[in-house]
Amino acid sequence: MPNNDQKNLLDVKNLKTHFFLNNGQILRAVDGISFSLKKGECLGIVGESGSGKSVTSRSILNCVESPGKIVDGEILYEGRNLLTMSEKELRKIRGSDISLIFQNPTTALDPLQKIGDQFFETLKAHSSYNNTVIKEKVLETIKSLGFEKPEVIYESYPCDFSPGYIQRIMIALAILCKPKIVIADEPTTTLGVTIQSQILSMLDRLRTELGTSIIMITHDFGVIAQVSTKVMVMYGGQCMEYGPKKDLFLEPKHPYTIGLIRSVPLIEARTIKKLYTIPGSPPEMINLPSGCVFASRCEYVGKKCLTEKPPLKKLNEERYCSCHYPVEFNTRDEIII
Amino acid sequence: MEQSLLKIQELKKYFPIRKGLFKKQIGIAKVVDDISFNIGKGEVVGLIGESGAGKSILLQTIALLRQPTEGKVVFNGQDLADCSKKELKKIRKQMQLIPQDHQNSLHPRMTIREILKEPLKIHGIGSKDEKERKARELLELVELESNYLNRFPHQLSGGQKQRVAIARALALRPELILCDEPVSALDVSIQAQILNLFMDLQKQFGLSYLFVAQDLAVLRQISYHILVLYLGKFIEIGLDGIIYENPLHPYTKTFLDASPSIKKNIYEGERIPITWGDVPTPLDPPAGCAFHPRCNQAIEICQKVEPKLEKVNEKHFVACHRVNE
Repeated sequence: MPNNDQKNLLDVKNLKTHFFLNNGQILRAVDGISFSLKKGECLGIVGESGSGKSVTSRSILNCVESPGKIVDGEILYEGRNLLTMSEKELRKIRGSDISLIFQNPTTALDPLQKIGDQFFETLKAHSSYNNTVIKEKVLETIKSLGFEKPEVIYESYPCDFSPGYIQRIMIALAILCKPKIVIADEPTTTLGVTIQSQILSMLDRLRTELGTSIIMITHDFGVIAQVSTKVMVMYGGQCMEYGPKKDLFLEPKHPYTIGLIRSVPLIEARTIKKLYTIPGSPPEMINLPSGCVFASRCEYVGKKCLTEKPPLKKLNEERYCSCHYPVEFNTRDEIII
Repeated sequence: MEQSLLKIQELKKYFPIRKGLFKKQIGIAKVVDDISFNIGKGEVVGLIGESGAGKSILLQTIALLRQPTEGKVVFNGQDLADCSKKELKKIRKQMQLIPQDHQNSLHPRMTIREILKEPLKIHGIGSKDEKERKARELLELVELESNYLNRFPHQLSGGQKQRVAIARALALRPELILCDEPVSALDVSIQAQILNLFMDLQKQFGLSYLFVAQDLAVLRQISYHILVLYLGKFIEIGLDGIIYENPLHPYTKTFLDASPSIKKNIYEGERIPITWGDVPTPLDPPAGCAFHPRCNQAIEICQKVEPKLEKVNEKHFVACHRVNE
């Protein structure tokens, strides 16, 4: 989706992150992904486990671990390419301009350090304030997210709180340096729905009140429906469909998108009925099929799908879909019961 | 309810809190507090609650993996407290638990074949050949190919591990399966597959489930009867889907609102009310109604008097002071 609009905060172009395994095989975890992010937008990246969502988020910060390597593409943050920057410059951006919220809140904080000290360390590394000011700023940030006793949190250890509470503290840590982009990597997967709704509303507030851009990584279309403004559906390291949230939900074009939307359990369901399931399981990334990666699980599969890889086609100004035979599907019948 | 298979009467599980050199008891955590309910033959009952509500402890106490402090667990007309060890072993055969953490509930050094044969071994069922055949059958039931028999758990994906855990629970042909959040750590697409599998098996074998989840939308797919647990107590019980149509307790409404809904978000564009806060700790429960610090409808009486679970109609019980207003 090359779009040279000046206002784009982040532009990822044709990103390819491959893993070079010991036995000489190449695992194409991310294979030619492009997207853009403007100020105050929330991009939802959806896909099953192993579809390359997390590797994409790590690639954005250029911190892919060996044997992974970014082999191609550009990541432009405010016009500067993060992939050609020195490690020193990158460290200035990580955690301060672009910050990350991890999937597992219980292991993301150091258990032996007070929560306050971990906040302190982060701000100290990214600012030139003196120690008293830093402490004030930390307390202010914690308070701004609705915590009642920031001083108590400051002096506590991570084990003093439940995972849901820690995840909310992680959000405070992520916005401590007033980042322009927050990447949330499945922030609610290990939590129950009630805590999930708390976390999602916090992220939504960041976006609407502070104008922070968010990249939300999840496997749940229900979560996407709640927070995103646009969506990218990933499968087998590739982009299947990309577009504004509402359009994508109302008229999904790619069979995989349709499958994911239909497999979300509906709270409004009247009777007990079987859920729709996508047959099979995600592909083995080491030997991907030569045609469309989704062909083996697709119910609309045609001859062309098995031999020819579908290109990412532009459907209109904002929507892209990589399918030989885009489907006409209206979710209204499925969802309005 | 039909003829009851499992009958829980005033079940309590307290943990003493000890501190210091002489382990002096300084408090008591009432994790399961005065719980009564029935599960009929072939019935699916859903149990919902946030983490910290006491769901897992309740299930473990029912399975008698923990000794109840007080109360009765009656299975098939037999009080488990009166049973000898031998009788208990027989009952355990009919009542299986699928533990919450499927990632770690399979022994990492056993192959899937060994894992599936283990319950048969313990209960001395079948010859060597029969065990092998049974293991293959079980895998087939959960829609896995038989070449998985030689694999180790770490070679399986999350969804596949969950299938093996289900197959293991089915090995002894139980009547009741206690499912402790069997789908909460799975991808949505895999979750749909596993939920359908649970439903198919239920129909095929006439199983009863006590099915725990943290999401009412998930329970909607599988059970009509819902128990809502908060801090070790039921605060609402609704049979035949009544909870979805007419939730009475503010806490139950929280769950209905919190389930991410495509309909509400995309088609109706509603702003969803958020209930803040966590489940309080059982070490220091709030006075009065345990939910009042988070409740947006709390009045004075809620802070002082604990509401009792009262009957609204045949199918609906609720513990809230404001229910009659």
